[in-house]
Amino acid sequence: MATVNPVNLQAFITPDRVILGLEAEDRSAAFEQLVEPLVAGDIVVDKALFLEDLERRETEYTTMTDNGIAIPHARSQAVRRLGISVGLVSGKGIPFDPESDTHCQLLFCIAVPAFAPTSHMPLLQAVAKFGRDTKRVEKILVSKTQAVAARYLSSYKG
Amino acid sequence: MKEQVQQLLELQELEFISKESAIVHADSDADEDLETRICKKRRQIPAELLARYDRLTPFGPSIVVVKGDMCLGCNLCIPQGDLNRMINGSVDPVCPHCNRFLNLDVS
Repeated sequence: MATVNPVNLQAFITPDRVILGLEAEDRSAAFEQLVEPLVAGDIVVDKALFLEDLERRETEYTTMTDNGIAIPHARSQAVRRLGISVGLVSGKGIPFDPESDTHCQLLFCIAVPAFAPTSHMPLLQAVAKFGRDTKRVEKILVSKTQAVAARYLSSYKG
Repeated sequence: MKEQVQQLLELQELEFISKESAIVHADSDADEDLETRICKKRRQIPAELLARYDRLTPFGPSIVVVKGDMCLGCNLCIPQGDLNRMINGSVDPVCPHCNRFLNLDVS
């Protein structure tokens, strides 16, 4: 596995980048909602282009893990700077990958600028490590407010 | 040369995806398919070009974009005349400072 330096999640995750009770019929609908905070934060300047890039990256190789965590990400010309949004899914989850029976409960959407194609690796490693810790995932999924979820993620040191 | 840079760009993208998969799907050997695709792509690229690509890879992306007249691999300015010649195809799209391949389709 590639080794990269740890990242401070606090610098990236703010309450307005967290979506509580995300509901979507499929991954495209989930992407639509996850990209909204990135557009509002002026990280993504062309929503349609970024959604297209996200979908293309996802078809190349899935970003969903066996335990129901997905980390969709894409390098895109529509991205001004590195950014992340978080979606906590309500209910039974989102059927993220048509080839998998696992439903997705937690999503991290990472926007990667095309001019810095590997800038997201430390961030990806941090959230992937967080996603492998089932206790932490269970705890964040019961967050009552966006601020609580953001604070919990930000305090994660990997 | 422009087509070859495009092929290298596709190879670079596949290699990035492979690295990302290693991070996301830790302890999983599910990316055998990706490795096969990378090998297939490498076979399509001329050996000399591939060797140059591989020499650059340890130092970050081998194919970078130009912003204005600045190479985003080394952050040094490329003379406008050189850039024009690269765009019209009379010289190879390679940064004169760091030797990285330049993706001139992204501005």
